[in-house]
Amino acid sequence: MKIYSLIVYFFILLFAPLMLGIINKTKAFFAGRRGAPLLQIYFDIIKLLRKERIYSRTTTTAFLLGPRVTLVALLTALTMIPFGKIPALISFPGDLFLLVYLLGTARFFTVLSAMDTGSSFEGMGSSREVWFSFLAEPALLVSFITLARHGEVLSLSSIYASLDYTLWREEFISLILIALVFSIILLSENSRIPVDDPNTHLELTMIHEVMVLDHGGPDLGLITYSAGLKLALFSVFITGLVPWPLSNPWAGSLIVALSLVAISLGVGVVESSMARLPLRKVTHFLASAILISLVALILSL
Amino acid sequence: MNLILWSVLFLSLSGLVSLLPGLPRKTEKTIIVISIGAASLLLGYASIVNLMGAVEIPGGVRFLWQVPLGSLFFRLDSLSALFLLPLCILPFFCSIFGHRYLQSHGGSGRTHWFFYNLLISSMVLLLTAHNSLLFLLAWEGMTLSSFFLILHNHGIRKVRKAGILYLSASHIGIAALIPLFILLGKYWDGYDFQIGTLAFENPGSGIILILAIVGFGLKAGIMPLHIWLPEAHPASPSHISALLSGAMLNMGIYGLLRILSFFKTLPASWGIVIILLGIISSLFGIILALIQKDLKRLLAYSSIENMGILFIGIGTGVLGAGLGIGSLLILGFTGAFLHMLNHSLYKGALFLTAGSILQGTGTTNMERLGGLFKKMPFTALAALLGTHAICALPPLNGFLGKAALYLAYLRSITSSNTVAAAVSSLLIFLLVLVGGLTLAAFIKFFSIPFLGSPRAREGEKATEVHKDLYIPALILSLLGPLLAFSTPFLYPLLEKPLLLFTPISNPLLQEEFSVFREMLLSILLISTCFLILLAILFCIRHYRIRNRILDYEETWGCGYIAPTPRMQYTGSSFVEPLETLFRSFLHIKTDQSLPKEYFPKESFYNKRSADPVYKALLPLFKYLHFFIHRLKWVQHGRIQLYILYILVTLIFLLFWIL
Repeated sequence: MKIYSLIVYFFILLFAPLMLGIINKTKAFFAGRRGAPLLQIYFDIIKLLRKERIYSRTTTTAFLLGPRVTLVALLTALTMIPFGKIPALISFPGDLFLLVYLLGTARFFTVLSAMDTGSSFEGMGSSREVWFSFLAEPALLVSFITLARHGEVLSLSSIYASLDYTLWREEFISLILIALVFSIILLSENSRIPVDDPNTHLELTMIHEVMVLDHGGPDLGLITYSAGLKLALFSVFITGLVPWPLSNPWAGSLIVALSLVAISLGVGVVESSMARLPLRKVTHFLASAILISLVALILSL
Repeated sequence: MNLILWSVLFLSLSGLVSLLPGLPRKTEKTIIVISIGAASLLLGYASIVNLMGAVEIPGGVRFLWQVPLGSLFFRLDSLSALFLLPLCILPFFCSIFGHRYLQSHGGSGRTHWFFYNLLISSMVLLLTAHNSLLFLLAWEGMTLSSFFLILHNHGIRKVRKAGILYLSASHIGIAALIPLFILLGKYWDGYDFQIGTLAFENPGSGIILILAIVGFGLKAGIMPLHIWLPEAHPASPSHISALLSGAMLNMGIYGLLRILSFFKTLPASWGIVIILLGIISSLFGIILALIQKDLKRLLAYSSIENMGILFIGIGTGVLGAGLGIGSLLILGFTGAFLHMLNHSLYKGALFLTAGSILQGTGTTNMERLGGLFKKMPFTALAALLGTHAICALPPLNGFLGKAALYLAYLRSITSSNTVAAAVSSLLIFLLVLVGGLTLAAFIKFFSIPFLGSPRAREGEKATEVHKDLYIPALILSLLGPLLAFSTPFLYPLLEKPLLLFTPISNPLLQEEFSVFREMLLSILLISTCFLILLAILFCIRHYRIRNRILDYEETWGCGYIAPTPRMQYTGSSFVEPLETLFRSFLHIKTDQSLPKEYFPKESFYNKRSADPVYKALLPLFKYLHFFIHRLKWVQHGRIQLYILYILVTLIFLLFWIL
């Protein structure tokens, strides 16, 4: 079984940036454009990795840590993620906490490298990033412990293994609420509309993107790739909730792939059909995620 | 045990030696540092041997002492040994730091190191005292010596005020501890400590808990008993703040645990009380830390938060003991113990780096600093490691204590008890909230002074401090990763202190520990992968940039061509969104004159914040002061009349006995 986990792991590493391509293609379709090729992100990353390095005079080693720690944190976090019924590479009691805290480590160093430039725009982005994640993290963790309560298990792999038709029949409302929370967190953590707009051209309105304004060349390549990995990671949380009755790992991987495409399409549709929320409202949006997760938790008790 | 008494004697004697007039500064320094180093080695050896022993060593050392109610009864049990560990590490590094630090800060000179050694020896005595009177004497010795250490720069009015506040707060604590031990003495029929003898069903047990929480909570800085703490820490020299925060606050926690260990079994309601206090301290402590501009005040409030987490851990253990839930009991206490050790290390390191910043720049106000990473690289490295650890982020040690608590809650959630599951989920939720705020507060703590560019003159003229200042901080912060990688192998040392609180069957203990071991080993595996991958990425970068000249340009300013450092985000603006969320109970006063017309004239915006608890308690103290003022005629300073008081008391006591 471990070998399949390994295959799926590398499959995700390869496939993740494609999700960003699918989102952009969907958005182009809704806007009536032809859009960039699906594989454009790969070309971008390869081009960026080969470009020269230009740094701000203000920056220090902390600036270099940001993109690298983020990538490493995501690579190690993905080893703990089960892909549907296929268990994670590493699974142990309480791995969900390490997962959430590893994402915290990534955020810590991203914010530090943004603050390192001394730019007021990046300071603004960092401040907002910390603010939003303060609200998103509890919702994520409460949802996980609700799932753990349902399955009476301690690790992510066994949590997702325990999600079957019977559980869905018994705990339908709670699970639907959790899927909703995961979707909100996916949008917020990946800086998508309605929380943030990755494509905006005004620094003041950006949140996550503004934090990486001064990164260029290979550093930006790493950041772009990490963005794909992060999107894949949060998508797997949602797709894993669906109780596929599959035991065959190959069919399982196919399902994982298809569901990731579905999530990307969904994000594209949301981005094309919604506007960004005003900043004040983002607090309400994320606070509602916390409340929904707490309701799900109470239903599970 | 004898080793410890020898080391105490040694410490006190060398403290006395440092008082000798005409002793050259260098000799004094050598004597103090070597004596503390040697005592630390002895203490460390004794406590490690004690913790590694298979069973609790019965008995202790008793000396003849002609004092009514008291006896010189010393005993080192595993709980004392555990709390001795930070005392073997912190004082030594703080003393190296302090000698250099005081050279440029002046102050009262000689007596400083006498009181320093006295503080350490009284803390060691406190941990080993097994008699109520001895315990109280050591407690008072600790309070008084730390009072004099805080008053080091007593020429400054603010320092005197903080010192007096600390002294009065501590004596309110003593006022709770004396009746506590009298009450305990009634149950014991004597004043020697007796572990695991009392039943909580006794009528006075509730009072015992309340007195213990007031007395020891005051020392640990539990909210709302914390008001002395954020004043005393910034007022004292930095190595003293490090010692107070990393070692002395622990004594409050130790006191509470010691009282709990007197009981045969513990009720769940006590757990709830302790957890509630912990929640209040950790949540409000970190919110107040978030809005501080002074580095040392921020650290002081963060200590309140960490003490809150320790209370949550202890409360979880007590709750588990009361409800009979093994995971809460075992992993709750384990988490508290681990967190105590980790907190001592990283908070010590962070206070020392704050001291280095003060030394290198002349201020601890973060809004005047910036860009210190380039000017003080070693201090910055120590601060970065400490900040990383205090945010409880893997792969460093800060995460492990919290991980034990999380695992405890997760296990109780997945078991069937609904009440325990509800409490546990609530606690996970609160711990994550606190964690998010800690991240924000400490990103501010690190990034405002160290990153970006200098915001004012103080930041510009900064230079790296002397190696005696940054090396201790660096070593303390590097002990963090070391501890992180050795915890999976060392945690069984925590087994014996656990058994003091309630009888735990061995299979249960082994079951919980095996789950915890699995978690720790997997965390170790992932942390190792993490570090290896990170090293690989940096190697690739190194390989690709060799023989190339890197291009450096200005930071992108959105097309603006004349950016100034004053346009950077400040600490206050960084946390402004979070501050707005909690504005309702923060006392924030603004003073402003905003630009109005088309051609704006001079304008300003000034924001101050005060501790809401301090504000709330102020009227109470005013009343108290009013009444106590009436008694002032008793304290007139005339020795003859004081002798008369003593005489009258003695005669009264004589008649009492007759």
